[in-house]
Amino acid sequence: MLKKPIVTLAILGYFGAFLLLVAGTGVLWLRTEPAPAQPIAFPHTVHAGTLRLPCTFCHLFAERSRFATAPPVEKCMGCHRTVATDREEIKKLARYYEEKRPIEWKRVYALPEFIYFSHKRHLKAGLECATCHGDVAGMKRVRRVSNLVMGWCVTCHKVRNAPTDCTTCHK
Amino acid sequence: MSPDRFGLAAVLLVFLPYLGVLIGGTTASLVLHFLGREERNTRSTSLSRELIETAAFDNRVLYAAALLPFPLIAFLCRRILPEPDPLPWLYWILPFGALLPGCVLFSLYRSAVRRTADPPGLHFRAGAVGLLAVLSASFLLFVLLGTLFDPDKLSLLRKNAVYILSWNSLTAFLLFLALSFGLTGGTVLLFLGHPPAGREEPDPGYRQYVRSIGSSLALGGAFVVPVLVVLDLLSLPSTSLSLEVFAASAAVLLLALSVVLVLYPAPEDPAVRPGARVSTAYLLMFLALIAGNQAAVGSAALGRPAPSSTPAAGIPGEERHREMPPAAEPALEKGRTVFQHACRACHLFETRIVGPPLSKVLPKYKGDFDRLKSYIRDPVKVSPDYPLMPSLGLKEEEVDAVARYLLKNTKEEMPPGKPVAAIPDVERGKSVFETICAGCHRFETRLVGPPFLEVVPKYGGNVERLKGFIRNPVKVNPGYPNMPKLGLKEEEIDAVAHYLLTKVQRGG
Repeated sequence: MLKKPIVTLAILGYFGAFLLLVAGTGVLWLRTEPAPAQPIAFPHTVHAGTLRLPCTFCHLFAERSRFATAPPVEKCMGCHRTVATDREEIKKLARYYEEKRPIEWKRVYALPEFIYFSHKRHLKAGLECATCHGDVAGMKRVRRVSNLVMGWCVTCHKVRNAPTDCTTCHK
Repeated sequence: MSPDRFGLAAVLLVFLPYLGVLIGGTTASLVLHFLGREERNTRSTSLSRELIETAAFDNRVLYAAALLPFPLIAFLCRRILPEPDPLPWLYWILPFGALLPGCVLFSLYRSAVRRTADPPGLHFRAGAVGLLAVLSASFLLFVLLGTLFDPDKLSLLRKNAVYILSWNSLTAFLLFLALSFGLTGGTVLLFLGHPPAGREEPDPGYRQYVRSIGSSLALGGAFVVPVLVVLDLLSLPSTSLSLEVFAASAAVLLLALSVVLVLYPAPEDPAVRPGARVSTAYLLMFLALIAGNQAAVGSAALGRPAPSSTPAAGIPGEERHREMPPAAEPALEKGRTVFQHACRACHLFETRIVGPPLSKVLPKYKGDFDRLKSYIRDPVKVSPDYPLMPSLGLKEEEVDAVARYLLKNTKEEMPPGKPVAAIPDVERGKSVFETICAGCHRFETRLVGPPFLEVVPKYGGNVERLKGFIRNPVKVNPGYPNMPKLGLKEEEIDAVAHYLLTKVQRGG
């Protein structure tokens, strides 16, 4: 009879350990934040969706440099000095502008520092923004749609006959 | 959840448990049969017969349930995958082609077992080969389903079909096998080992034997499941994870625990009948896993462009309409909608918002319908006072409709320009024109730049605007190169602007 509680305990321990593992992977995943909340709830659905502004209208340097860059607040104010000024989020934007503070957008796509990646090259090669960033025009809050692991880069390079030499990305 | 994904989940929920029992039952039957023959154990042989009779209980059901859902799964998967033609049908034919002979061989084996208690070895081998075929078919099925979690892969398959393999498909397949054996155990506990009603039980120990086999299968499955669930989570691409996926995995673990707790305390007590509970728990595990996987497919598809619809209509007709061709009222109605939808955010007719008031800019397009359309299609910077109008990406018929709407709503006459005051310095203007402008412009003919008679009138006698342009030229017409900045002195600009305007007013 003494054996029984021990065995029960062992069974519960076995399943409990795996439950903890599942919970652990869940917490780890949550911490990587595929769709972080932004300081201003900027609706890509309106700007890229309804208004169909081209991506480079705001992400000025995507075609010209390694980085696509978030637009300066001035760019937003170009229109929002007059458009929809009564909205809460626009008032927030105006405050940033008046206080001469940059908006600290949360990065959705970040590569490690040892990776050389250039938006300009990829656009020149004829890729669409949506190939890696997905249908941003349909996202209420921007969500990472590619996992950015090395295998993901390399397989795409192989398929498109882009260089797969180590030094292409690891300068 | 899209109807396609819902349908796929429903089909899988019927297909996978049946396929699982078929695989689990046949495997157990073959193993027991082999052991029974080796050890002359009649209990093994009769359970082996019962198992295959249950798993493949009727030829028609066997063929229908194992084969019919397959084309449906293929059809639904092809609809869910974001690209228009992602997985060639050939990929789907392979597992289907393995499943069909597998089922035929199963039915051969079953009829052989049914006829005699000790079937010849040939039929045993038929069963084994059939099992191999069905196993590889279901592995291929999981490989194909795996592409749903990682749509990025699809483009790679054209290059090399090996890219379709993934660790995730392997763990999903193994998880499916574990659940299958567990469910088979549940079925054994539920249905087998009971003598037909009204007949004496020939062997009193047989029932106990069946029960121990069923319990071992169900317990074994329950203990293997947690390992595979965690491996499955770790091997899923991070973009297809979501809270629902984790919740489903946790639910599977709890259900496996419940199976163990049902079977463990009373392994010997014949009064307890755990079969129904064990089978339900395993069916619920199937349900949880399929639901979790569909959630993963959903988050993998999040943010990906929807399957593309018909491409935008091309630009029709080369002939150039100076005047707007007649249009029916609906076109104007459509123009109004497009205006509200695309233009209204930045333009009103009378007041400036982001862009200029339309009543100021539209008159210059009066009588030049095509130029307005081309500007709407492909806007360029005109006035330095306003930001560059973004390209709107309208369809050709929308451009046409809104251009009609705009011209219809513009006042008939171009606002008369202010009469140009007498210019004292005509000579200076003329000399600037001759030395600078004439390099590229004539009044009547096109050189590098457009003829002045075509472009200067749109300034409507507004000297300041013309001066602004000369001071700071911007690209206006895509048909001409960018005019360079000339670096003229302010009085030269003033003189040449006046010269041009008076000259044009007099007709060149």
